Amino acid sequence: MTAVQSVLIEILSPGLLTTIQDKGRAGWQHHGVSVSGAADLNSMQVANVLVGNDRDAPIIEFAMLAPTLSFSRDCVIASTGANFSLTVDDFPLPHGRPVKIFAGSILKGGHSSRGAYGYLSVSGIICVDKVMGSVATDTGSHFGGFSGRQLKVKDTVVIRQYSKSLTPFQNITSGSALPFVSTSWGVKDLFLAETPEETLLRFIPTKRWSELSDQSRKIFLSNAYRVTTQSNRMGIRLLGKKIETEQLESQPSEPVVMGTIQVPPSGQPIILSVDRQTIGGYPSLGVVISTDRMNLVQVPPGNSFRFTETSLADAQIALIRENNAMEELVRTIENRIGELS
Amino acid sequence: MNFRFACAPLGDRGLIIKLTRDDAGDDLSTSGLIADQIRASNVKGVTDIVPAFNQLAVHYDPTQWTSSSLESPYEEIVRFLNHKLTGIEFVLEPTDRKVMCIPVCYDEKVGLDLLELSSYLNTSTSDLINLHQSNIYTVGAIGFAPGFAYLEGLDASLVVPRRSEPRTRVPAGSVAIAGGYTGIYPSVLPGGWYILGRTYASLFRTEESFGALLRVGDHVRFEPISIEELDAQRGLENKK
Repeated sequence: MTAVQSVLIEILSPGLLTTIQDKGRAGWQHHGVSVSGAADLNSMQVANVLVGNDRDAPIIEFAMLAPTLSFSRDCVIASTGANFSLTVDDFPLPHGRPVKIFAGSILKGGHSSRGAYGYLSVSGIICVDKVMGSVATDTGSHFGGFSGRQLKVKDTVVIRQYSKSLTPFQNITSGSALPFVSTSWGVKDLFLAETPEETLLRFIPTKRWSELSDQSRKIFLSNAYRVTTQSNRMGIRLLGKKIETEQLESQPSEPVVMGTIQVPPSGQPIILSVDRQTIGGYPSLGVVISTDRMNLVQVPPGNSFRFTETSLADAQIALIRENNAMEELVRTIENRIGELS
Repeated sequence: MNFRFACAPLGDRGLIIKLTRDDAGDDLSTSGLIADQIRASNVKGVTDIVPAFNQLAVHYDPTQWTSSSLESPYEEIVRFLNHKLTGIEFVLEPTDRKVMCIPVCYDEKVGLDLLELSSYLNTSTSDLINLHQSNIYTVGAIGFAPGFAYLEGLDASLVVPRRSEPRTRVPAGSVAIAGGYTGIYPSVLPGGWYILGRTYASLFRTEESFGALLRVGDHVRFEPISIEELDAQRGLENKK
């Protein structure tokens, strides 16, 4: 595949936590390297497939406030995840659809009405070097992605477009009153159809959970915990009724995963997120199940979680079901894209 | 060497293998050696194997461990690993772990907490340095930051808590102690350990051929060097 052209995206305003991500950096945790990658993997994959990219291609992720970008050439974009009311040249951009925009377009971002993370895919490949097999930005250790950091004003992201990048959309030309052309179909929001004040997270208990006092367990299960603004890609910090862990014996650091619920001495839980460390020393009460990952990362500060225990067997059944549903969705989108050409 | 192991879930995409030895004491190399063995057998769907002290985590993709039986993916992979680990039990000899020699300058200009710690422990700085550099350590875990090694084997008289005021920026290469461990900061990081010295050794590089210098189970010896040598070598590192 030969590159046909490059699209330059200039950052006019950076939004918040705007980074390049992919599916993450697997295989390096025994070197102390975090997995990183898109916080909401499903939304990332759907965005990529919508523009005809490989589902795990590099993508632009942002949180709470979207960036403003200018595009040097025609390209196909899609936005998924939280809805940031994006506009192209001041016209609302349809969410969850492939949209062909034209050279000189300005994509403007707002705040998200619900949800924390947004995704913007662009047809082609974002040109940044892989570090240890991945382009994911590790915001804790400052490598990967765009020079190991968040995008800043005046940065230019280069997208290499291949002959195939625009093929499905080549027949779509401007002609409408709008500054872009979109398909008549789209993907409906994957999450948070409404904005509940409280979201239920299912977790698989650890051995430490069973060592906790009945009182502490009851407190955790019967109270709501609010997401605080101190949350980031490393951890989701919660505030609620204090969980006493003093009765637990201290022990050396142990391996942790995405979704590990840690309780530091403050008694306020921290749920580990994508840029988490590989091992952790605070007692871990349980792990949020993979199927609830989207809710875990997307519930914005100010809203709350409640927790309920589930079994590993049920969690893995749910995970396989969700995986099959994603495969089905990806196939459906790919077929619809194929029909465009 | 005989050990027993027990598996437990770590969420729905991971599991923990806890190790206990049949004979006396813990051997810290074991989790690292078992991790290497599992890694070498390329178990399907396994993305990461993370040893830490006397346990290791296996991160796996459950969708690759589905079968028509009533067993869950977790039960399937645990059965496979049990079989695998029982088979390799007898080949685990920790003799081939390398001893890494790390050059450390214990000058007060870089051993930022030598004076504070010697007064805290009511000992001389030279005794402090001797106690620290005369032991051979074992890497118990890698974590906190890329390439950061928790080294075990610290002299009992050097077991101290963390400093009450953590530093926001500990210089890269700082060799420090706290909580019964000694460790080396691979890069500039926040930290609350007492700093005894500094090395010019590169503990972590993002190049795929390198990664972390130390692996769980490696042995480490500290080789004292002068401040002149530290400066000279750091000059060379910077020119590279």
